[in-house]
Amino acid sequence: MGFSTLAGFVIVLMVSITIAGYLLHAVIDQIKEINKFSKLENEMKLNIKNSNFEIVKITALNTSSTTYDLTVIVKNTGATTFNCEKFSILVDGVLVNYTVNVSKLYPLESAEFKAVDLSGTVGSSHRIMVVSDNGIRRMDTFTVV
Amino acid sequence: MAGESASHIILFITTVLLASSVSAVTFVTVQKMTIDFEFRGKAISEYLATDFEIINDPSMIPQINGAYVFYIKNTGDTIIPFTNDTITVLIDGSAVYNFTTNVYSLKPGDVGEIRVYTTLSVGDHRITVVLHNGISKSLDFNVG
Repeated sequence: MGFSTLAGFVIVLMVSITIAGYLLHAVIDQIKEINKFSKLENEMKLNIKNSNFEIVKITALNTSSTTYDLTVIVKNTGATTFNCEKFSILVDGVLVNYTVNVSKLYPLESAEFKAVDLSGTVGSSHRIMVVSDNGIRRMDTFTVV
Repeated sequence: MAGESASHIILFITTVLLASSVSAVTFVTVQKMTIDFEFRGKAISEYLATDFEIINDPSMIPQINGAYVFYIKNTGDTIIPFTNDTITVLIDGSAVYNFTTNVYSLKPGDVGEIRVYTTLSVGDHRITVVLHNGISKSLDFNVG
């Protein structure tokens, strides 16, 4: 009777220890994973808080009777670095393709974005929206000369 | 004496079987719980790393071939599945099913298009885009 109880107890104890270890390992793994992404989320929020840019200059020069080339100079006035290739430029609400002279826009530096063959006549006014890689938006208007 | 030994053996085997059964059931239950933890953990992690913006100019929504074009920018750190099956579009609170996307997924920093085939009256409207994991963003816009 005593040996049977002991055997049963030992089996249950061993399995309990295994289960506890297994469970603890899984819980710790998940806590680590959530913590990692929580940190990432905080970094993203902080990044947006410290990010800022301004549209410094817009030049729209006509190239034919119905088209123009657009040059936009953007200055990083925040404390983070932007990825210029991930910017989005909307002219009159439409996303346009552009080229940029730098790939990274460091704090206090400027980048020159160029879009060519956009539709518009001399004297026509347009709206521009520049969106950074992290979603910050700036708007302005310009006239084709 | 022999009878006593036999009863001890029977009791021993019964105890071992009972203990093993209880342990097995507990182990399977805990294993299921662990798998559930992992799924929940992954879902929470993915939720925390996902973010996007509707980047249209609110007063100039482009129209192409009868569809309103909305631009979605992935501002998070994970890839967003971007198909009719993974996103939901609501305009003025009603689900719109007639829409297309131009890509299957959006990498961080990428912009995708949603073309919504619907008729909107002149005035103010609101679009809400809901992702596969429930994250949603809205944009108030004007149709002139």
